[in-house]
Amino acid sequence: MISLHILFNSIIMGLLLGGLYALVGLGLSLSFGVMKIINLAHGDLIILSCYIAFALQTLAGIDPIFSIIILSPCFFLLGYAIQKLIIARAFKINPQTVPIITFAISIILQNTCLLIWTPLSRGLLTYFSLYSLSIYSLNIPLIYLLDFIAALAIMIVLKVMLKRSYLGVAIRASSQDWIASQLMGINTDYIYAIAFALSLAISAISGVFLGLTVPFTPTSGVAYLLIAFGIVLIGGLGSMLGCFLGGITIGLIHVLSGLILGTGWQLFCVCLSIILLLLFKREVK
Amino acid sequence: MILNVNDINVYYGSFHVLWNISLSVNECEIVAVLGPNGAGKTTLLNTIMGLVPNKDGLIKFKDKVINNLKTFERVSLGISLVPEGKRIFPELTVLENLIAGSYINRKERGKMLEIVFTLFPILNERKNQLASTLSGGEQQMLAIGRALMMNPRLLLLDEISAGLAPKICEKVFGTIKKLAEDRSILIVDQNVKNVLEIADRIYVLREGRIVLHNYAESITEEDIIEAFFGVTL
Repeated sequence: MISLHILFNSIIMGLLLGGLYALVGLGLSLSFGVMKIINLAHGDLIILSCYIAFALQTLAGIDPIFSIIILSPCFFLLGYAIQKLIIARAFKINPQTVPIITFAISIILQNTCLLIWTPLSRGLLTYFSLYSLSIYSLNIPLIYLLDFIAALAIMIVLKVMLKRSYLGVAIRASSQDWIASQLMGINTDYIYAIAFALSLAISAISGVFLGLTVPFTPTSGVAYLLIAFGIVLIGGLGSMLGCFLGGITIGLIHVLSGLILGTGWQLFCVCLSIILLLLFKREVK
Repeated sequence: MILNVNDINVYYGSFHVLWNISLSVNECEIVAVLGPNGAGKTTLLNTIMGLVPNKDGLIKFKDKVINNLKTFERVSLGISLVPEGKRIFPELTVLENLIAGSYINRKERGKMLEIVFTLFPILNERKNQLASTLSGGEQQMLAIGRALMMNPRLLLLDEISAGLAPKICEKVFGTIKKLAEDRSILIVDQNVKNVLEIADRIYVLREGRIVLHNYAESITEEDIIEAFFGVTL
């Protein structure tokens, strides 16, 4: 029998872990939810960020939290280049080639990580990795709390940017009708590249928080890609708040299914619940 | 002269659509292009905007050759098109659609918003609604308002009276006349009668060729019908 105390603790942990999932989903919510670019390398780019932060820590002694300052702009430029040089060209030939191209990028990234860092499981450590907050009888790892806060902050920034700024309006307009957007004087190629670059800058941040929270291997990206797509679909395409709430839901299901059925059932329950939630959502609509 | 199209040819693949078209628009002038369906009117406007490439000939805007510029670059010079089928952004609100229109003219956003809302008060009433929830006529007003937000020197209007109730149609044409006080307008429309009332000059296009060009006051409806069908009735 599960005690009330453990159940309550698990719910809190699920909510906070949901922040991590939301973080993983937010980059995709921008690239796929808003811009409709199917980026199958999303998970692997997050894992790449984990590994680069790992390398920066082991080789240069840079704390992972501070490596965000380096990683995020680098991933922004990487995203700009990938969109401009690869995805935009593929899109012009045939929009259906985009998932295939990004799948290829995914395989290249996985194998590059395998060659450089071997299949061993790694993790990121910072000076507060083992800190936890004790509130009443609850033990909350500090890093889980930071995941949640980071997700909340990025969600709010994205939401405000999309709603209030010229860039945000241009991003949403370009994804709806790029010809009409060009007729507004919007350079749609540039807007697409900036949006994808932003998506990757967010992925870089998610990668560091992911690496600080859970261990990772070169192939971990696949599971996160699946979860990210699920979250974006549950939350509704283009909705940043929806993505955040979707992440929280998945986090809760992950922790509670682990508690009730055992850890082996976690990914199964997460994927099953994504399918069920989508079915349910259609009925509601 | 604000727009000068000189001897352009346009092809869709190997299909020759526009043949040796020359056309000009002067400052503060309303020029209309009339013609039956499939004559190439929309193609002509799309070519001026760079949505369709022209094979040879020159397109000049304010004495600057714009042939090789991309659509958004032509827009930033001061040409704006209200496209066929409106092409409003359905998932943006009315206000956001107008803000998208002021993307290249941010400084005048407040002033232009006021002008657009004075022209079409209904848009002000519905500014927080999604554009997809507007009626056809309201969407057309939004499309015109959105194009006005950039305060263009030259406004191209493609079939804006299509699908409008006659009463609104009259109002829109009245608006166009007013707009031409400080800008040039090139209009393509099926509504011969309304167009003849407001236009300074008329071109008639048939099967991709200009078959008639004259000042509006010296053209009768009979001339136009004859030019439309190539026969005297």
